[in-house]
Amino acid sequence: MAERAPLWAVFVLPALLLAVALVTAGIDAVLAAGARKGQSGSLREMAGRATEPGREVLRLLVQQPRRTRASDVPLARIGAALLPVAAVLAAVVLPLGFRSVSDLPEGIVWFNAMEALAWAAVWLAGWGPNSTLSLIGGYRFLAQGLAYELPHMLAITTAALGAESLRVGEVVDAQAGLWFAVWMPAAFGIYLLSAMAMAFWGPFDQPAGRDVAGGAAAELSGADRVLFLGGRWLLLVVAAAFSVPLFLGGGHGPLLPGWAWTVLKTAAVLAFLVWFRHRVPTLRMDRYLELTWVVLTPLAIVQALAVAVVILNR
Amino acid sequence: MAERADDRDGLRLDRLHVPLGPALVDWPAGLVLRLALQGDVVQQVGVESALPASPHPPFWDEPWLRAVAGERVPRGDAARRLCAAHLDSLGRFFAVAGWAAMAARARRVRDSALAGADAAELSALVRPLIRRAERSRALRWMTAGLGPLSAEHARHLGVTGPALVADGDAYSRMLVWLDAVGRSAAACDDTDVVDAAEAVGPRGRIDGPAPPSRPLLNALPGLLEGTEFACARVIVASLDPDLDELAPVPVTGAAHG
Repeated sequence: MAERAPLWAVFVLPALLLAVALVTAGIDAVLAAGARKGQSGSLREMAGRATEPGREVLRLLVQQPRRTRASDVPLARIGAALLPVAAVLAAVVLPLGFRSVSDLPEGIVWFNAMEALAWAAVWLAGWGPNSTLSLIGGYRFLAQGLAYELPHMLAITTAALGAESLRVGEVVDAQAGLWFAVWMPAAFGIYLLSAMAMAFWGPFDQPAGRDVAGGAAAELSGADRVLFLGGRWLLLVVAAAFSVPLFLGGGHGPLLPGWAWTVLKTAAVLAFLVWFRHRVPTLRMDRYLELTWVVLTPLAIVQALAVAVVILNR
Repeated sequence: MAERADDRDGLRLDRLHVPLGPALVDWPAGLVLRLALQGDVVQQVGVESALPASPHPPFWDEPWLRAVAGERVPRGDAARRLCAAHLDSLGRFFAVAGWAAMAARARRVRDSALAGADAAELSALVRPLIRRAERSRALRWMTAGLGPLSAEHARHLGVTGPALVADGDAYSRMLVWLDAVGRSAAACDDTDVVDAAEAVGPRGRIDGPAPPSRPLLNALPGLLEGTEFACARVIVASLDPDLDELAPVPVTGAAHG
């Protein structure tokens, strides 16, 4: 079971998440600039590209906010602010090594509930500004939610089943010998897909797609935009980091201390997600929905069944 | 702003009237589509293409227009322009399909084609691009089946360019572009002269009764009605009409010699 982290960890957690999100966004910006302007050899230029997201945040913070006609400002504001809040709250049960801010007895349910807040957040942010393109972005995220959430819940339930506990610390303990990713590969794969979908990232970025001018985020400006898009990065980091205690053995590993293993594994998952986004085009949800109902959901059920049989026979 | 109307399933739903264009990211500049949307499904499409007169001939057709006017234009120049024009279209197509990295690459190669890279250099740049696009199963999965335009129907509309050759959906139109990009990149050092009787630009025959983008615009409403918003954007990008071709030229005969 995970130890309780000291009280100051409550304040360190958001800062830590923010730092990881900024670094990831920097790497993503370097990759994007590489496609746009060609690879760069000079270190100076690389550094310039890597700091782009940071500079963008500063630019947005001093930007004059713009507003659409007849927009529902509080609604859009709540939507934008809810996203980072949901991400940080979900991270509360995330163990760094073997310590988490709060190792709730039903941590996995808590995580799932907090990420579901993102549904409300994106829908409100899309609905609020009274604009067609952002409204379509909101619709799309709800359709996406229908597509990814069911196999996602089955996948994380499978991990809980393997550990016979909903407590994240116990899920980590259960992987001392063998990582869950090894004997629940389908659940792990489905979790990675839904981690991207949850943060409407990579091939699942349709709700904020370029063809709808940024979709749910189309009309957000200034600080609202920082909160919304920053919240999305936080959500991606948290979703990626949660795959480590769930499937990759958490802090377990030779030689290095537990926290170092958590950081390393999280970095690897994040690197994969960032790389993956540059490799594939956006998936249309009407097509993906077919795949989730016909292939992924049954696959997740069969995986859960297999794990249940193994656990019962132990 | 919203009234109600029957949708395809017989429900009465709100209908939103939304103009798309003339300026929208990754959109054929100048094109205005007046859409009636229910949810994000396109119910009705009106095409408008009122453009201000332009003193310049349409950029992407220029070599062929000069050849038709009697000038001796090297085939290499025309191939270079064709290559760049299709890369430009591919850039929009990839961007709308949500593949930002490939869109950025296509645009970078387009710029180096226009900047005068030689055939060997350009071929080396396009080859990995073509390979990656052709191999992407996700791209095929996402764009196959959208906006099917049979060769028969295309001919009936008067389409003469890649959309006729493709004889199929958005994905097959993209494959035709990729193929043409590969061949024209290899041919961009050719010094023979363009045959004025065979003046086929990036979007079709230059010397036909109407500019080649006109039949593409005429095809749009039939292909878009009933599609979901994202599909509609992909279909528009896969036809990629060039509105410059339709802009009136104020000084008579300036472009056509």
